[in-house]
Amino acid sequence: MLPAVDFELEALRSRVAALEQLLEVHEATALAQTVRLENIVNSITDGFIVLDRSWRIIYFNKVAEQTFLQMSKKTADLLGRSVWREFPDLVGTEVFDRYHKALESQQPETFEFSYVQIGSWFEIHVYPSSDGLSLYFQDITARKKAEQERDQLLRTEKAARLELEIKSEEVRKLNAELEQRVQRRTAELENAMKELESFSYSVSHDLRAPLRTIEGFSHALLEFYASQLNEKAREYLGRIAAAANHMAQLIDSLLQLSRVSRSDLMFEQVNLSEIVIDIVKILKETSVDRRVQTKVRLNVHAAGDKKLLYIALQNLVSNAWKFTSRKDDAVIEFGLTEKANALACFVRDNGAGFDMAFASKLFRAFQRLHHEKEFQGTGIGLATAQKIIQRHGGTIWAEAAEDKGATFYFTLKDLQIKHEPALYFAS
Amino acid sequence: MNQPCILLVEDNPDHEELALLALKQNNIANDVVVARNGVEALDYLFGRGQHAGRDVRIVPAVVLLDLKLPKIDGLEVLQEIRSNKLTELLPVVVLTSSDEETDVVRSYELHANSYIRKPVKFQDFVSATRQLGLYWLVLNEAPPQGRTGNEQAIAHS
Repeated sequence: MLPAVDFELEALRSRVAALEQLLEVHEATALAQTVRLENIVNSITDGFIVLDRSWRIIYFNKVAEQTFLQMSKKTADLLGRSVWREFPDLVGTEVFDRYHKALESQQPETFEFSYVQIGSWFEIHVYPSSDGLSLYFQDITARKKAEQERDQLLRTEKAARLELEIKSEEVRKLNAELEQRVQRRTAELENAMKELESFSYSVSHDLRAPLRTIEGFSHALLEFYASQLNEKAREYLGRIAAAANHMAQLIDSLLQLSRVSRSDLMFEQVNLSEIVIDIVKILKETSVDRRVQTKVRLNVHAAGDKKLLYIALQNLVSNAWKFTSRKDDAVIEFGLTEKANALACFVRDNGAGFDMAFASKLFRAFQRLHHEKEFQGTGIGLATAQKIIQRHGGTIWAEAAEDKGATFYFTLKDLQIKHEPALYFAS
Repeated sequence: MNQPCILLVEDNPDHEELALLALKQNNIANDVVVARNGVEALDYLFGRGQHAGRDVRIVPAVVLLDLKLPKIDGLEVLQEIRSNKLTELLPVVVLTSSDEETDVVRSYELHANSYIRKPVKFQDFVSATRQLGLYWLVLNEAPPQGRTGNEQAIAHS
């Protein structure tokens, strides 16, 4: 052997060994790098699949593998196989179109895809290269469901809002209709009130006018032609005049009743006792021949319309005055007492009274429990008093017995005795 | 000079007769001029129509004015009386069957001197007339007659 050749050979051997060593190192490095790469690829949460230009699956990571398992695919068989052959249901879908488009145009594609067969949604990013396609995908089913739920909620809310608007519109319409109806009714009512007022006016003016004529000329005859009339004629003329006067009283009472029904109430603190004392004073002045003992509880106050309460008390006290006219020891009392757990005012007399069997007729207009010959009256006074008390939110009732007097009770708001100790006013 | 007259504005002939009777019974001797509606009353006061040429400076002592009158009602008559210089101070007593509050209020708003509701009882009417006569014809000092500006007022009326 030539030493030079040997040397050469030796040198080559060692070179080969060195190269082998280097290769080993490189291989180890390459392996390490592959492992590292694979680790990286597997560590991402996206699914990752690589296809070559002939649509063969050449790589998929763990996440992708799990997705394949979900689709009941045997992952061991997949590598090297055509994706369209393994997943024929994807042919012709958006996935199919987009992959082709990306590969042809070499432009990345991003899209969402509903894989109906497994009931999942995916967001897919497609990155083309000259070698094929890299696919990243993410299961977005949960997000999609949330989105759908949100959309559903929004739709429901929108529908509800729409319904609300419709209902509001209906309510608005109803309100407008109601408003119109109220206005119409108010106008009608105002009209009716006006008619009633002009009716009252006619009653007040026109019905009284002929009465004045009847009364006046009866008197004129009695006054200026008395000597030409005999006693009977004079008596008849007296009757004519008395009837005319009675009718005038009736008209006035009716007018009063109609006025207390329609006048506005002006509420204030009213001292009822003072009113009663005033009424008693006037009655005593106008019928000096009567001897009546009166007893008035002082400082009985109530909330009400003074003018109307005066009229009510006037009717009650005048009644007591009238129905005691046949008594020598007439007593009229005004006071405050407790009735059925509530305070009530009363006007009491020891006069003619009445049979309680007729009590229900007492407050009706024109109902009289006594004959005109016994006690004169219009039969409207108590109806007026009741109307006034009722308009104040109170009630009025009576307790009586024939020939044993009557007591009229009534309630009002804020009935009370002011300035205790209360005394009596006697006259 | 004669006593000043009383102008009675009354459309009801019965009431007119009763008023004259009541005045007579109270021995009130003043002349009574009767106007049977509002137009007649104003014609008399301002010398128009059937009263054309009357010396309008001679004014009544008092006007007894019914409210419900044909043609021109009492309140309108009152308004005319108060808005004319000739008659603005003329005593006007509203004498009517109505005691409607609105009539009373309107009358006083238009400066009626008093408001009397005609009583149905003739005797009450006689005594009301007596008091009226005593007050307006005897006690009351009438506004001065022939005041300056009358001619002007006539021209304007």
